[in-house]
Amino acid sequence: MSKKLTSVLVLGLAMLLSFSIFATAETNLVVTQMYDAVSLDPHGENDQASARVRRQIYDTLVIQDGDLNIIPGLAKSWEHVDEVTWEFSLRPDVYFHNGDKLTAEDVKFTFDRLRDPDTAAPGAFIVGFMEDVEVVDSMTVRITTDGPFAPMLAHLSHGVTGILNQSVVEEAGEDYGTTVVVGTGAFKFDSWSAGSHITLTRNPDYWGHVAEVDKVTFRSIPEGTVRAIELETGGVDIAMGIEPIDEPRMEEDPNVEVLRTPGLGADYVGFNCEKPPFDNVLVRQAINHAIDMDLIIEVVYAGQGVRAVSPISPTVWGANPDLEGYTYDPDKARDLLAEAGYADGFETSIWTNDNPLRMQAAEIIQADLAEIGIDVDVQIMEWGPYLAETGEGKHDMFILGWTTVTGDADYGLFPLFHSSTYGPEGNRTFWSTPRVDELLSRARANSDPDERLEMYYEAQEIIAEGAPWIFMRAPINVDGIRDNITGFEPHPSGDFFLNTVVKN
Amino acid sequence: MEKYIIRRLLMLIPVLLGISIFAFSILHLTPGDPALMMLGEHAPPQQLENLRRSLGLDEPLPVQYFNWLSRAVQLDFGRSLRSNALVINEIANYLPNTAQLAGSAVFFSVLIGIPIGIISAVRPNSLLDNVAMVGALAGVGMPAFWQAIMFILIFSVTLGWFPSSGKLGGAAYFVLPTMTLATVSTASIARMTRSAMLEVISQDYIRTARSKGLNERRIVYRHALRNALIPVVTIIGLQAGALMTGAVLTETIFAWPGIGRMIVEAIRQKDFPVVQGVIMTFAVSYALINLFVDILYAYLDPKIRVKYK
Repeated sequence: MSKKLTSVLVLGLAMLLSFSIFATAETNLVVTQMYDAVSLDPHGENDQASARVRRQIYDTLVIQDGDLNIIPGLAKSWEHVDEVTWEFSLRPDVYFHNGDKLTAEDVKFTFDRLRDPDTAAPGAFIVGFMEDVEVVDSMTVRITTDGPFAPMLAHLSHGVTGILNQSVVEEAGEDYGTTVVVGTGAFKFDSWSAGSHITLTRNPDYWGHVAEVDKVTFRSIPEGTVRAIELETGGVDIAMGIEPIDEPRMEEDPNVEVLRTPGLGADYVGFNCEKPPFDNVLVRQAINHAIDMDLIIEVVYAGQGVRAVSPISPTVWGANPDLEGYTYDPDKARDLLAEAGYADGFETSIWTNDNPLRMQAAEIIQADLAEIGIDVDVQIMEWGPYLAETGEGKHDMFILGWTTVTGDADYGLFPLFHSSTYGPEGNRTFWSTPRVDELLSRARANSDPDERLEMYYEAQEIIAEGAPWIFMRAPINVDGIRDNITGFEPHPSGDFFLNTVVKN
Repeated sequence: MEKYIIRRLLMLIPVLLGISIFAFSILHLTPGDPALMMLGEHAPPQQLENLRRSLGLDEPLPVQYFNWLSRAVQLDFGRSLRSNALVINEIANYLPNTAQLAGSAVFFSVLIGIPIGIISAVRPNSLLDNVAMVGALAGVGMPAFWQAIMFILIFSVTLGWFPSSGKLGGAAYFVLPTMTLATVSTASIARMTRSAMLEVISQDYIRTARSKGLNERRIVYRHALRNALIPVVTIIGLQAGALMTGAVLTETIFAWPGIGRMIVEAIRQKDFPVVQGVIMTFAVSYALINLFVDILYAYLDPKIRVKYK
């Protein structure tokens, strides 16, 4: 290359760089996550990448704060009229991004659309309890449930219940959620460059805390290392999902702060409790004692999690803080196994889908169980048949995860341990007890939080004792921010609100 | 010439038909109920039913294929199961990004690869030749994902010259992905140019040209290069095809919003209409590049032209 050409190139480059420095008079907060959003229609795909963007654009009737307390959102107050009826009064000062005033009609429209089987919203299960939605007057809406349903407010704080503008949605038709997106939130949708980034701008008329930054850019960067490098080099301000391999380097970087937020998930190995030898509680307890779970968390999950002592993460509202879990004790495991009549062990299998972390965990479990004489065959399956066949109870053991997306113990326990949910609905271990059934049903119907807590505590004790799972891990979400960012608090659900974030 | 082109065009039809059968059947080759697999464990029955109906899963397979194909030829691949956007619109969003990147990679690899090949051939076994060919071997051998990370470490993290990912602006964003993509193809082109040139240079007519007293430059560019170009054009064509369709790794690492990343995402999300649409796009672009290469042969090689007179 000639010298002249080189200098031209260098000059051009310098100009490009200087433009990018001087053109940023307005504050642009750049957030990166692994995937691109799929749809900005809350009734479209129910994935985390989309949910995070939608959180900034839409508001829900009530909001769950970082400690999972319910605070008012679009509804300024609510009243529990009778066991199955709730009345919500809307804030009078809320306007959509197109200038329309929020009315009770929009709320009814939103919930009706979400529940409509023709919409086929993947997030419809969140409002599965709704029987009817009525407009009382323009600022009041009444929701009837199909039975007493105490965790209702937690459900109404979930992002899929974000309130839509009826006329906009109806006019946009099939295009709603990709080119047309209108909410009441702190940020307005500006543009979407598919596969690359989504731009939002500040909503100056927001009813709540008006955003501190002018613009937000959501970028998708699939490679964990590249995400970390962008954070290191200042290409992004907030990086969601710092992978174990990049974490130590981020910890050392003085310009980066690593945030560790306990999540709402639970990883578990489920037994088929209707099939011998797993119908014997001693066998299930023995296996729980035989697994070195701390090692799995350290080696497979690189410390991004804590050993699970209960079927729900300690962050979830209703988690029993007094449980201790099963200690790693192979001798005790052998004794329990002998007591159960399997002193010589047995042959069995563990299923997993082709998730690499689950496959590694399965191998460690295989090795640990070999120590106590149980010969385990690890079988890796396609996702489709995996779900179908574990739903039909064809398995011995299987590895899955569950996220209590509402943050309320009901959603973390009822679908997994109630006898009415055996099979594909969630209870793939086919285990329950009459007492657990009773507790879960009563806690769901009881509106007194203290009484509910007690019921959930007891239910978790029975479940821990009955050991239908190998309790594995409560994941911790690890994210990174630049040191000039303040006010960023990731929610345990993995979502966040960006209106309070300041970029210095 | 026209006859030749028409013949080549007609030959595309069976190729594309074959690929279309493949693209159609991926949905049916995987075990289990396709609708359940696409929508996952929590899918409401109504949604499964809607999807089965819209995909026509209750019809016999040949009928399904025919229906799918007759829409596909009109560029209608349906809507994404995830975003509900028209698949063809999505492709139109992503394809230009891939084409720009592939174009810039091909441009630079031709610009650099052919001169290196010529110089090496003209002075075989010289120091220059040895350095160039060892470099080329290394270029072909280094895996793209490793190179990409190295380039990012050197040029973004250490030197801070270029952004490490994305396509948020102009030329600066092209540099690292282009370098990554162009390394392999530059190396292949240089090696092919060198060996083709070496073969031609030892031919009798070159000796004749030299004995006539033509200057060396004229011999190399006029008499040798043009005849050596046929295999070089082939390899450029293959590289261009590979860059259009095989930039999956590079696009993923650099978070480049191209069609390679699009299909990776679609596979992860089990978004079959998108996967099918992208496979057909890959097939058509590969076929068109090959067609273009074939036409270029005819232009470069009078023998081929004469055959179809």
